[in-house]
Amino acid sequence: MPHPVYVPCVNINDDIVLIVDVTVSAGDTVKAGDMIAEVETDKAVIPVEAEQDGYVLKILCDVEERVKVGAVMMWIGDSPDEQVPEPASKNPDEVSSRTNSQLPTAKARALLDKHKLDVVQIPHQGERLTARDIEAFIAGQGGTAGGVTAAQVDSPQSFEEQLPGTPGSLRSLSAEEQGMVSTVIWHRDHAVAAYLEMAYDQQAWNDYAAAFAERHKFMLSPLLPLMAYRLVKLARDRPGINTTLVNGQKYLYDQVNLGFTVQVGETLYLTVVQQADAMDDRQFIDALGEVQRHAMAKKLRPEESKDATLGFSSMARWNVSRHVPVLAPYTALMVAHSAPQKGGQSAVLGASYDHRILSGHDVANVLQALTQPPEVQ
Amino acid sequence: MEKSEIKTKIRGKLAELAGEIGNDASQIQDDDIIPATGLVDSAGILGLVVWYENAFDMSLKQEEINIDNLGSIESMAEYVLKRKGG
Repeated sequence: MPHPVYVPCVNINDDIVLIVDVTVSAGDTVKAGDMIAEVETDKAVIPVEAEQDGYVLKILCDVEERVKVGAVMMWIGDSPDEQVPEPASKNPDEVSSRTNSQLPTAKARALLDKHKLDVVQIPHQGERLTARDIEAFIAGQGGTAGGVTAAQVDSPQSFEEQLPGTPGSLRSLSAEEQGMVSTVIWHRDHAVAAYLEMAYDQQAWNDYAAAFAERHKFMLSPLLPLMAYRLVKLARDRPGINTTLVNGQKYLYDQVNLGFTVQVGETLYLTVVQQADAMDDRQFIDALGEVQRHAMAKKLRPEESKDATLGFSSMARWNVSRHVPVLAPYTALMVAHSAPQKGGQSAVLGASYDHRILSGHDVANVLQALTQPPEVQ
Repeated sequence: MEKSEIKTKIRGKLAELAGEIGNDASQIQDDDIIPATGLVDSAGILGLVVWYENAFDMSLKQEEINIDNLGSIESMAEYVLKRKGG
């Protein structure tokens, strides 16, 4: 079986290296550990070694050529007469394009390494071998390879991506940015996210909130907190929406921790009111107000931004008329409040939900109940 | 700190927050009820309260954040003096 030798990554800031030497020729025998080439960046020259015994079948790079990290630079076979996979392009000027059809994506390469697979084993139809091709291959082999499931290695930490070709610089993520990355990746990797929405007339809610504000002499409109509290009460009565899926089993939370999105400058927080189901409406509004003030002052306590079991998001402030929120990790439902259409009270109430747990029927029933304030049900 | 100075600071912050959503707060009167003017939205009022706590170095309980105490520039200034014992 032909084994590709990839152009190594010498430095994380360099995605192009210079071939300074190729010490073997097609037909040569090599042993694992033999130096077969040298590559150079601005900072270092490093040898490229054969990873297994075999025969050099084909060399795809030339001395003094600049090649992309991750491209196939040569093929080594177990026997001298093995067929090398045909490249898609014959462009003689660039190794990466000459080998494009066999060049795996960065994520795919990480999976190949993890599962100890060879690129030639994996059938693929696209221009490049992708992680999805490998996952499909693994699934066809019984779901595992190398003792690790695809899901276990398909995380942001499990592979190294190539840097873009355009000049730029790296910086670490802030805690808030890292939180958003984790949230979005959970949504991508675990939830089977779906979305639906329902049109409604916001007038009843506006009237309800205005009366509530007047009664309590509020500075801030309690509209969104009251809607969020309505969702909390619905979750208390319908525990199925306050649920997640863990290792194939349904996990029903014993309390409702309401996650509520707050934008502070350029930072998006999912603030959390813990045990919101144990509060009455006024207590909830005060608790949410306090959490929001902490977020505004960038003084959120740890418990005020973790362990949401249910979510509520609004982009009405920016006159967004529809948005599809990302589910917070280990939640099954995030309600999306949007701005009314111009010149009226007609608006849409949407929801992202984990379709592994909730059906559209479940969510539609929740939204239907949420379109009206409690006293006019 | 003089009441007039406090009001000037509050007015300045209010103008800044109103400007963020495209509103001009230059004509607001000291006794105007801020939420009723529509010059700032809920997030803006929240930002005003957080700034107010920081600018005048006092921590508010949630129940203190109401129209009586913070509803207008005048009442906000008076509340600073009251809390500071002035």
